[in-house]
Amino acid sequence: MAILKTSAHQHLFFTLLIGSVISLSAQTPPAREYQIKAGFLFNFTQFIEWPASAFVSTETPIVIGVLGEDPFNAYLDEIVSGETVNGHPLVVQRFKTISEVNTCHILFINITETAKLEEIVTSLKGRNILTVSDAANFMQQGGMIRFVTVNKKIQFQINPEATKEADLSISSKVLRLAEIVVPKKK
Amino acid sequence: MLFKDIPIQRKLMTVILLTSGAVLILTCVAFFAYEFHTFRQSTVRQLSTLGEIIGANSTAALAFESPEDANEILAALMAEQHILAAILYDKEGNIFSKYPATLTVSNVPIQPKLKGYRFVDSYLEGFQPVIQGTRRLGTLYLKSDLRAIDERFRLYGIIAVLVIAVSSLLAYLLSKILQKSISKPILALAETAKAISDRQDYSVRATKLGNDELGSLTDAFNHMLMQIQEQNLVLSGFNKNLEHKVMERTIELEIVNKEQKEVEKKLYEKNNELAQALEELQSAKAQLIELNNKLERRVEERTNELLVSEEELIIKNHELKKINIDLDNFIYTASHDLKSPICNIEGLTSLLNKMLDNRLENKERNLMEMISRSIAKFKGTIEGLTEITKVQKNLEYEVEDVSFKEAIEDVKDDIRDMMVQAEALIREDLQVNRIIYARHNLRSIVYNLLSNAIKYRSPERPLKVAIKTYDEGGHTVLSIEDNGLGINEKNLPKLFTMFKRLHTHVEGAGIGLYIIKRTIENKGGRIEVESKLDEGTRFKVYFK
Repeated sequence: MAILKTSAHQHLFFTLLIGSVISLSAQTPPAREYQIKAGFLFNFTQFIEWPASAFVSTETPIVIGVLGEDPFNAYLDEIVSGETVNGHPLVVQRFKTISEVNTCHILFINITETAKLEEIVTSLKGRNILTVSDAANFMQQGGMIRFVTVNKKIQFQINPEATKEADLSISSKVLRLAEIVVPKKK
Repeated sequence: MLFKDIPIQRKLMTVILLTSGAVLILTCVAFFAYEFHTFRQSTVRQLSTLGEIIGANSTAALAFESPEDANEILAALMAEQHILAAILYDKEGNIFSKYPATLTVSNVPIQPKLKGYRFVDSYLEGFQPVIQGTRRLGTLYLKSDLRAIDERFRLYGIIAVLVIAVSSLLAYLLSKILQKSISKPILALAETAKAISDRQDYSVRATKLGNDELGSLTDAFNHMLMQIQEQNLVLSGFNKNLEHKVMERTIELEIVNKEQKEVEKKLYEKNNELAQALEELQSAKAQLIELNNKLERRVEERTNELLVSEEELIIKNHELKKINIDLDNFIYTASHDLKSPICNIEGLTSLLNKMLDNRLENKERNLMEMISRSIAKFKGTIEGLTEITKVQKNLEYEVEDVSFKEAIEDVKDDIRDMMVQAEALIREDLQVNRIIYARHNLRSIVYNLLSNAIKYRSPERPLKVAIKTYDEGGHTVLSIEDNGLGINEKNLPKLFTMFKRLHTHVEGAGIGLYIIKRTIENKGGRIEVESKLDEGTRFKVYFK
């Protein structure tokens, strides 16, 4: 609920819930699960510090990238539009393949890309990009944050070593909320 | 008991204790006020700091919607026992998390209110925003009781009471010891003074305990005592002397008293005598009064008689005046009427004499001459009478400024023959020369007096006449003195009467002096005469 901004959204949400109609078409809003996840993606920008080298200037936008099929529809754009973090405006970019990912700070990797996870993580190594995904084996593949649903509540797992490798500093307050997962090295 | 009546020791101690107590209480009150103010401020500050910490820790929980985590964070407030309640609201203002978990929603604000902390009743409560970066994620509500303040102040109260108690005790002990330095010399002085006044013993001395003002007071007191003692000695000497004197005086007085009593007795006797004398005097006085009355009656009678006789006199006087006037008229008429017959007789006699001149014998011729002389004498008398009537009728000559010298020379010219014949030596001393008078009258006065002097000269010695004028007592005086025959003293009163002639050997009508007296007196003056027989006469005319 916290991420719902207007009564129009609320109204829409209740209509969807009562009608039990779940549609994933481009025009319809995403399921509540993805609304919350979109909010979380936005919130991460506030609790994570990127190295100065990640930005050309202080006004350079923080780019939230969505790799693969976009589960948020336009919802993520709505959330971030007009928002700034430490002077950086927020921008959403969508990528079909990992090779398209150029300037990016948070990259959400959809489940649709599960097969390519290892390739993706490897290609992003050494870049200051926070990788987030729902994929079940994401943490084993070297992902940084994975959304999990526990008791119908959306929570997340964090691999602090991975974030540290990417030179990202995650607030301890977030770490406290998260399940710390450090996969065994292969 | 009034403060001014309590003993000095207690007074001093009261002063010290009250002063220190007042200072302590004032200090404590000031301290309390300051502490109360600053403690409230610091309580607010502490609570807001706590709020900041909680808020900062709660951002992620709010952001990632983890009330469990928020609860955990709030649960940490358990360590601060004064926090009664804490609530986290999400950014829509709904309750997100609360502490303690058992908190009933009815007791706390459902919606966040204005930012800031405030004292409500005996609590401190307030709201503060929870912010991550620049984004407001929610609001924190904190409610704290003020027991911390109460506890603090209870502690302060206990400390203050203890401090005051201990300070008072210390002040009491210190003042009890220190006040002696002031009260002891005073009490010693007081005791000495009391001993002196009780026993009248001025040989006692106060002990000096220091060199402060009280020391000098003691010195002064002792000095005073010494002086009193000395004076006492002198006084007792005086006293003895006085007693002695009093005794002497008493004895003297007793003697005097005795004498006095005797005197009194004598006085009493004398008094009785006097009283008797007084009685006699009174009876004599009564007699005198009676006599007086009689006399008064007599005087009255006599007065009445006199009044009667005076009336008679007035009548007589009146009659006399009438007679006088009649006489004057008679003289005037007589002299007037006799004038022409005598002139006729004179003319006829002269004619007869001429006619008979050659025929007369010597005997007849003598007779004729005698007739002529008688006629001349008669004529002279008539002229004198005419003169008198003139004076009588107050015939006035005009008054003018005349000179004595001129009048005298004038008269001398008239009587030169007489003077030569008499070989008279006339001396003049005119201190006053001029006078306002009728020229005729002045000449008449000088003429009569000078001619009289020549007429009545002594045949035994050459005649000397002294004419003087001078001022005497406001009058101009004309004095004519001779060394002639003089006048017998018994005849002097008759001198100025009419037709009175004292010497018969010279011719005269015997009216000259009468006329000048009347003339002089008519003008308000007077004439006096002094004379001694065979020595001379002096006339003095006092002009007005």
